[in-house]
Amino acid sequence: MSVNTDTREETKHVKTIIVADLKGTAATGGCRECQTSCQSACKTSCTLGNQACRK
Amino acid sequence: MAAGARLLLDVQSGSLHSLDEAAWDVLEALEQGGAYDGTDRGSRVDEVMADLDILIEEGTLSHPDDADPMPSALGPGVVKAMCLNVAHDCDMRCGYCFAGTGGFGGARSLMPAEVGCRALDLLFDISGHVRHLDVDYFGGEPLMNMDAVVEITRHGRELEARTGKTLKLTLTTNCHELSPKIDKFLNDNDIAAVLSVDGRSGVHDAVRRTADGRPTFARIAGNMLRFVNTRPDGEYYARGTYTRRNTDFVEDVLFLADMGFTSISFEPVVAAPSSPYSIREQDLPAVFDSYDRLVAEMASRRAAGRGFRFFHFDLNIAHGPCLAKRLLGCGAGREYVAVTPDGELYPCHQFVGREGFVMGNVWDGITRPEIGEAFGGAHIYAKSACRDCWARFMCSGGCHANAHEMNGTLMTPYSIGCLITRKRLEAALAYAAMTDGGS
Repeated sequence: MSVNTDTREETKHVKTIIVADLKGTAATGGCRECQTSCQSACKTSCTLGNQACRK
Repeated sequence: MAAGARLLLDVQSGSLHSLDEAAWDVLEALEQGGAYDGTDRGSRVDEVMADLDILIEEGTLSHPDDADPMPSALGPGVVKAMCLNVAHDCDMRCGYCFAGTGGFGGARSLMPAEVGCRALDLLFDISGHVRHLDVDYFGGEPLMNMDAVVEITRHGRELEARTGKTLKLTLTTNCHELSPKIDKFLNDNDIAAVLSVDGRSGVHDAVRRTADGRPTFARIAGNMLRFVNTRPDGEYYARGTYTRRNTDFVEDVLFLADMGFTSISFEPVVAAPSSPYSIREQDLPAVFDSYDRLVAEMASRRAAGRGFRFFHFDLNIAHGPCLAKRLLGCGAGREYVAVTPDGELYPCHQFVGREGFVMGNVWDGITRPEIGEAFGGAHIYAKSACRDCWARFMCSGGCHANAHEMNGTLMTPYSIGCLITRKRLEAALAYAAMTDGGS
């Protein structure tokens, strides 16, 4: 199911900080234009964490 | 949760929520097996459950029974990035160096420019339809082979013009020989820079010394400041390594921020358990405390108009990579290869010199694709340690080289690395919450 916050009702005890839709990219992703990631500690230049989708 | 924040991360959508005390208590009770059957409930519990229903309805909170989504296909690997080890040599002898102080366990050598140019030809060719390519000048110390770097860069820009592709270049350096001439070259050619420095002079000089044993902090700090001041808009990171000797590395991060660096990254050393530098389990409480203190201090400085970027807190949560990408955070062997000075291809810079991992060479291309396929099989759904980890879509499985080094297999992540990554992500999410979404 993809995220849809268009008709959201007000919440009392929960504040949404970031809306993301990772599930929705299951069908649409995979173009491979994003930066290549590297989880190695010696390669700050290309770790996954702060990558953006270039699509 | 770090810094006192009560956060709810929906692992499957990636959405992040902040909870009040009542909602936190209800979720804790549910997590500990408390039943909620919709009867005999107090009004606040009722309200919390209604809130959670709203989140589930809109898709920003997954139902506990929801299975992880499957991408349509992971697909074959497409190599689109290269690490060019332009120098298997170094003018420094850092105590924790994974590269055998430059030689990667073999003879010290420099990459001929023609090898680097041929590597770029191969990259532009085998990347197929992918338009955005990345190359990192690495080593050893790449400044020991600047003539080749200049020629390879010129060739890369020609390939860009000819093909319409985009080539992002990065150079990782110890800064010892950084000069005004090199500053200008890096700026003129739009080359991002990763500048190695370990923070406080005593911490830095205890590990990062010249080949003849002299301290390096004063010289490299001066070079770095001069360089950074020549590129107000250019990309750089002041990048440090912390070890068990400075688990209070928050002080090193803040020291660099106080020097004027605004893009900073610090990483845990990766070393064998027998190394005097390796992070052990007993070091973790102090390491975790450093991340917590860093969150609080960064938020405070940001509010005061003195903010700086810390690489690992700079998550792009809402618009990050797609699910297919997140199943395999490590690009080694599939999207990324390392090139040695004599033109051999390895899955990544850390595998250079490890027996059985030569994938081909720059003249013949990838001759052993089965190596990349094995890396492709080590995705998070295939690894038991990742399958139920809350950080699985943000960490995406960790470093394959570390897994192989520590456990002899790609399928079992390095456990200390997992613990640190989870803490670092927790801290990054707390920072995002404290700053309304991050930096």
